[in-house]
Amino acid sequence: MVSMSASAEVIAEFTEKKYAAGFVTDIESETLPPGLDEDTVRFISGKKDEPEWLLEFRLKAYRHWLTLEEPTWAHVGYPEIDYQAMSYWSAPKVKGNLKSLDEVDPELLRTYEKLGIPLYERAILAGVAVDAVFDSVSIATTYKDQLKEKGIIFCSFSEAAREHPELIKASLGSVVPYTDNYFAALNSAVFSDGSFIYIPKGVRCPMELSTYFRINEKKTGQFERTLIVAEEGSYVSYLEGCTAPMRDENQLHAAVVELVALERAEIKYSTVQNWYPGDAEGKGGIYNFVTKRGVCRGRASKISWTQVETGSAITWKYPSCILQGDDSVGEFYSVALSNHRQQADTGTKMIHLGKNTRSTIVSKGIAAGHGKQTYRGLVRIAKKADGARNHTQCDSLLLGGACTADTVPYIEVQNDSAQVEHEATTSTISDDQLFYLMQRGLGEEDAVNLIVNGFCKEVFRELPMEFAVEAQRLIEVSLEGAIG
Amino acid sequence: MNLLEIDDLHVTVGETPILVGLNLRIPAGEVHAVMGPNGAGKSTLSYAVAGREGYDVTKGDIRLGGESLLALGPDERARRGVFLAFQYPVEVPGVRSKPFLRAAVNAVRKARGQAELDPGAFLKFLRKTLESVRLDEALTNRDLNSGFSGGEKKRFDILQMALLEPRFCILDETDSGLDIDAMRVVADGVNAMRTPERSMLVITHYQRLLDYIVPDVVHVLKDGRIMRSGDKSLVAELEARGYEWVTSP
Amino acid sequence: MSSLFTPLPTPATVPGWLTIRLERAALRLTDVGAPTTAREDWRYTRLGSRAPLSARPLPTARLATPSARIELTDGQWDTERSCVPAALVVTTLADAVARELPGITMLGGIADADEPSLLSSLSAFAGGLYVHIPAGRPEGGAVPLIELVVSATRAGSLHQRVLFVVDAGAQVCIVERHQGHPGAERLAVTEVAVGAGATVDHVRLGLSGWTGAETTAAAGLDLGTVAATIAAGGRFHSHIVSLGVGTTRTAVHATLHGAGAHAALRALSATPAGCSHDYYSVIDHAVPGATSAQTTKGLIADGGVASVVARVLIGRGAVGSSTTQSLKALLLGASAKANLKPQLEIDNDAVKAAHGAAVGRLDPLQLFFLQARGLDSATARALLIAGFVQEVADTIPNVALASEVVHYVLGGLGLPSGIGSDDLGSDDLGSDVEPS
Repeated sequence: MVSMSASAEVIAEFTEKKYAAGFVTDIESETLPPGLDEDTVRFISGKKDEPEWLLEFRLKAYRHWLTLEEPTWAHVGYPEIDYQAMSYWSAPKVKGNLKSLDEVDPELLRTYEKLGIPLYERAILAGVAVDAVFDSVSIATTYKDQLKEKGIIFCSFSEAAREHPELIKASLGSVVPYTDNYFAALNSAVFSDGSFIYIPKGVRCPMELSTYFRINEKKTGQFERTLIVAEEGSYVSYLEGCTAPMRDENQLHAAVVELVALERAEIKYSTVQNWYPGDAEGKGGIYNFVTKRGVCRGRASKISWTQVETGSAITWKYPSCILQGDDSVGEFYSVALSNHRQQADTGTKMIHLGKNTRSTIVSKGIAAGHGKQTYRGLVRIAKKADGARNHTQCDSLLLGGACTADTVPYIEVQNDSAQVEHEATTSTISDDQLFYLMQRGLGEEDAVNLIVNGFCKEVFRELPMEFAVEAQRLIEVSLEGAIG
Repeated sequence: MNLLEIDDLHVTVGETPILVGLNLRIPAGEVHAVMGPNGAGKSTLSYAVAGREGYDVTKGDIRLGGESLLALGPDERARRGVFLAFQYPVEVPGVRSKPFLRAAVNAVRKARGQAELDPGAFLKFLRKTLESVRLDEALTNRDLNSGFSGGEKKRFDILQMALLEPRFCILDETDSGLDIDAMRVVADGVNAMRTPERSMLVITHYQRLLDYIVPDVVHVLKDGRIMRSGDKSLVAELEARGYEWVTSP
Repeated sequence: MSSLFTPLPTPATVPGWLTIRLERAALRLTDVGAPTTAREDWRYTRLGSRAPLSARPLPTARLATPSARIELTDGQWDTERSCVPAALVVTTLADAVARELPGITMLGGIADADEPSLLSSLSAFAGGLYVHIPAGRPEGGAVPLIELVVSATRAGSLHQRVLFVVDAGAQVCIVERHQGHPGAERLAVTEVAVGAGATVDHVRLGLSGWTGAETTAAAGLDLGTVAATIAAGGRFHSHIVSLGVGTTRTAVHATLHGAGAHAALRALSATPAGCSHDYYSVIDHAVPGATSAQTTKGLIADGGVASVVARVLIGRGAVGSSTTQSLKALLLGASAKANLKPQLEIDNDAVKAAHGAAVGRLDPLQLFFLQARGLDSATARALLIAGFVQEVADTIPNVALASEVVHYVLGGLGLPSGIGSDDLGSDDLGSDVEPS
């Protein structure tokens, strides 16, 4: 079995250095001193030459945030976050606006090389257009011209706010209002950058669009904002990847993602999240508190979330679908892994409003070491959602006696023609399975990986090929030493 | 005289047309076989005759003894003597078999103007019939089809057929999932019910069931229509040459 | 409603252990106050204003031969109408406390979760009852059947508390009927101590608002808690049947305290228009090697709401646990509502857990199958509904009681209750019915 020996090599390679993305890039950057007040919000907005209405949006969000309390319902525990002790702005120092990749700091580009995403060649080979957000600021976008021909806009959020204010104004906060929750309010006040995608009517985006997010600076929070608008009959597949250096401190990442799909439009949103998870004792790591939501506004539209969550000390995220248009479809495919002291409280909400709306949830939680896994999901069938259907499959795999797996599904049905089914299992790798595979010549680690891979397969196959391979590798590396 | 008459039948499932102009005549007392490849519309034909919701007749007519069935619900068709032996008899956990059988028998008897059977009389009738299809009474003490083996489910369907004494029986892939012994038992049960008044439509993919239930006429259903009809020698020809060989009506 | 959650005065002379428990309960009640939907455990329970509803006629049928019948009317033990054999000890909680009867110190200790209903009614112990079931079978083989009838003859609040102490190796079937005035607001707590190797079947028939007389009143509230602690090898089978008029919430807490202990919690509800039925269960696997199973089935008519929150907790040390959950809701009308929350909280990897939940209407294929056999659509529907109910009713060990439950459930929804029952004459049915 060629693939097995290959994966064994991969494991050997990672035995020494478990978190491969944990280096720090030595570049000059401009960082705001820690602290948050209205002036911070004005400073960020001013730095980005934002129009007045956007500043107003931020200030309203900030004032609302002050009235909120941090949520405590998730099954995660962490020391109190001091929101005045972190910096809300950090940007690599560059001269003026970037016109081409040549103007990007070469040190930065080397970072992406190390991360395995050279902006040039591999992007071209893989046909991927990459936008990279480095400490909250979008650095460079490839493939812009080719996309421009089709009328597709793929740029940083700041650029979009300047160049396409009407598009931003129409959709910003329309799916995740700043009043939505504590972290969404905070993000709405201080978001620094992110990606904006607009696919015009009837256009099928010819390539995968992709953003890599990277936190580099110490004591900074990352608050990016992504907005995707897919017009009637259009299609787009978007991927995001996330990494951060290894640090002893905890850093906050509070992003907001909003998706809007109009009639017959389809948005496929994939995430491979590998923020620094902290060390084996739980020191350091990213707090990943993210609000992601899409609305299927038009008839027969479709939003599909796929996520592979292996990083972060704490993950708190529920990519959701509001199925408003009749015949619209929502999907959520998730693999979440918590090893060592990692905690993940993740899941989805499927809100069925339109007739004959359908949703599918496949959630695979893996807990190892002292890891904590919680699936939290809501399926709501509203009164007028005749003929709505949901199927949920929600499985947990526990590896080791000190980990935990909770399953908290809410099913709320208000229409008698709906059909909702939920299935869940919690299991471990049995000695029989291990013995069987090892008797066939596999090493223990390989055998475990093989079983874990099988467990995740339904989700991996939703990812584009090259990401599926990366996801598989990440899971293997993250589970290093979890068994035995 | 024809018992069943199907004229230019068009049936749509969802938005897909499955049957597109099917014609069929089955005289009283005859057994006809419908054979065809997978996806030809065999099960659709049986559901359309039995009146399953979602199988929309967009054109044509189905008549039993001269009366159109189209406006009737599945229960009304059953009471007029249509019986469908299901390809996959449905499991209904919690519903006891015996009270169900009695309710069905009495619903059909009432429609025929016969007296309903009291518990004692029904039990006598049930036991006699059980014997004829060689089925253990213990099965009737369990929940309807719940946890039955494939063979038990099929034999239980044949038991219902014998109890309800229909005029017209459809056997939809009754042989699927049966070993040779179970199939023989089922075929014996069916053969025992052949009378000069009762007609049957045997739907099957393979020849082997027709070795036991010998048909008077064989039809080939393909692409939503009857492509060819003939006597039982057609069965051997199909077995030898496959369905590809039948190309047009 | 408010008076339900106000601690009653503490009796003057109680032993220290109870004083501490009462004071702590009162403190916690002051702390958390009356429940609201903001509390996760009470998320689906609407305690607010309720529209008036009519009483349902209560059939006079009683179980033919219970070993004991205990009647509690308006919170008072009606000794005249009760009938208790010598082998059982039945007395007031106050008396049991004073005489330090076996197991009495478990009072208020089994149902000690942070539940306002528990806290409030703990102080109602003076009007409550103590029942002690010794090991062995006094009546020559038959499992003793204890029938407890809790009635309300008036509107207003009613507190009730009963402690069952079941000795090691004993077997018993306990049937509670909660019935009476539709305007009553009830808060009833049952604690059960299941001894090692004992088997307890507990059936709670929630018939609040079912009376002999036709009455219309502001719909009442029936808040019930059944809490059990189960020692090694003990088996606790709970059957909660919710048919009350108005708003009801029944909570079941089962703590598995010994290896080989088993808890099977089943719930069945039929919710008519204007009513809401909640079921909240927690199974706590506190030790290794225990097993549990939960099955809930809800039938919801147009305008009814039924909610089920079923939790299983498996602690770090509780290796070798196994648990299953199956929650089903059948919507019988366009404006019926169902909420289900099958929740697992698992803290170790040597566990087998599976759960499933489904909401929908009757299966169209099953309906077609029955209609294709000549049954009209109404009969086919009724038969399928009866089948849905039967699956849970079958787990009740007493056959007469099981058929009574089916009868109530279908009757509560206005469905013919004879359908699907084995009405062929029991002599001829053979194996279907247990010999009486």
